[in-house]
Amino acid sequence: MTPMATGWAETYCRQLALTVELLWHRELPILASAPAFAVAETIVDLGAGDGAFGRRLAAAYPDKRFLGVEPDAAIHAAGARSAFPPNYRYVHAGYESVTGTHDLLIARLVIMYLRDRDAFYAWAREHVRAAIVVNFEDSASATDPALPLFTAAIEHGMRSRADELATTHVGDRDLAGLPAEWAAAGLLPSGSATLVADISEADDRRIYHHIQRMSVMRVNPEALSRSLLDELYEWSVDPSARASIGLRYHSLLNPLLAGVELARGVVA
Amino acid sequence: MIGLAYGHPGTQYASNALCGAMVSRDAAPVQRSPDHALPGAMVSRDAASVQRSPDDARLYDRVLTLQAEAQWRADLGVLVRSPEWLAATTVLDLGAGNGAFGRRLAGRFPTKSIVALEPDAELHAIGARAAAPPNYAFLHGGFDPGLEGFFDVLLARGVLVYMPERRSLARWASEHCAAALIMNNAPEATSLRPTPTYHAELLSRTDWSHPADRSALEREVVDTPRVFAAAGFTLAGANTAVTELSGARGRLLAHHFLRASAEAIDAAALTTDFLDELFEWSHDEDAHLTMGATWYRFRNSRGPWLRTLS
Repeated sequence: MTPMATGWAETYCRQLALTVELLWHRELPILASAPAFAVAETIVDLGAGDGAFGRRLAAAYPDKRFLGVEPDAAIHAAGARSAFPPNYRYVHAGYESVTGTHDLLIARLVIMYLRDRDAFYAWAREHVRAAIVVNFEDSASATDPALPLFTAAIEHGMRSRADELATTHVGDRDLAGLPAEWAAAGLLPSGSATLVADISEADDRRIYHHIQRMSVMRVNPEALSRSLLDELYEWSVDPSARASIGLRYHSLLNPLLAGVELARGVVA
Repeated sequence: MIGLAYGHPGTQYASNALCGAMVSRDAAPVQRSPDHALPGAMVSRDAASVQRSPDDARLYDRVLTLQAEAQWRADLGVLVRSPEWLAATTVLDLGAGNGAFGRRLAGRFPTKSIVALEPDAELHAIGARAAAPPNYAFLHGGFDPGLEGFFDVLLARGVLVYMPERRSLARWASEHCAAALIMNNAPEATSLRPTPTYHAELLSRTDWSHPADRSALEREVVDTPRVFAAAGFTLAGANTAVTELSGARGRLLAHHFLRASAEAIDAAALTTDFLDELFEWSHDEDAHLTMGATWYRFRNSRGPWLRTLS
């Protein structure tokens, strides 16, 4: 992942914070009900961003120990300004730097940023007993009415700046082949869940409006015209406007490291 | 004499258009203004008319909707501690705006019948399109001393400042309402920190910052108990409810409220720089907007059995 400029990192961190604000109380029940999470004592939070999600998770589960790794220096610097619970260690590093054996890997909205997934799988086989991978579920994400200026700005930005952004920005639909890929890499898919978050309430729409604006700021800032800003604002104050965000959760088991207890729990 | 009819909880009112025919359309006009919703800004629309939006009512509707959402908890906190409100079954909501607050009230208190009056035709038309609980009748009309009907509570939320005939209202209420709950904006409990410079500049070139207007506001606030006491009411209590919009969700609500207010005042002022500054403000973790509202609770000295007495 190409290091981000400071301004970008600041915007990215703000966006992460709002995304967590929007989705946290919806995601927690799904995560909490995952057997691999329930039994885990040591958890690696891969691509932790500014730690916005990890901080809340660690605070909610003080008996679990978390290691949050974020490879981007600017994002890590922004995140490090916040206070973390004592059971959350936040470091500037990539997964390659993580040694030892850990009960669980959480890769939340991060797989799309990994270009060499083979190397990542090889590392995972060696260091984690289980994993929970979270991706966007594109088919469950929509806004109504549509936002043509916003959509065009994002699509244009993705096309023209793919290298700079250093991401494929694919959703779960494009990652649909991953379970087979994981199986081929020796990680056994052991369950999945889908979250369709209805974010149509007024205060959710306001948050999403800012998330969308920040997406344009990061991906295609030149497109941030007054008309685009007005399109987003008008959508956010339209009481009939609707939106949903889809997330897909995949649970994986590492047969090489998972103990009998974990394997039984996950399979059950 | 003009009759006001209200239904009972669980019954379906006739259409607002029909109900509207029962009240005066020629009632004294109440001047509404977008600045009604701004911190410390309380003047007539005329005083604030720097460059009016061509679609005033639509923009003002947004301001009122956001304001109702912002102040709902604080105002509700006052009402649920008010014996006059808790005991009431019939309520007259005077100057209901777009009905955003009244609809919430009716939904929260389904056993109370609320009749709401709004004199601004365009604002009323917008509000009338919103789905309302069956115990909420939203009528087009303003205060008229000839209004008939008896109510347990007169609710006047943020409207007295627009009513030069408030003494007449108080006298009318003393014969038709067992209690009055009056809310005025409280500038002393209102603040915006840090103050966005473009927003401040917009406020500085509008007429309501004129000392005379501020004096009028303060006079009105001070006058409220005296006006109602002179009409035969007893002040049962007063308190100031403060809403603080901070934290991620609160700041974004404040962001929208400030933008909507500014747009309602002068849409041309909303430059990209203005919007950028407001956006940055909304992501400043130390930023906050507080909105103060002073509530007065008056009891009718003549007692609760007004129908018999009259």
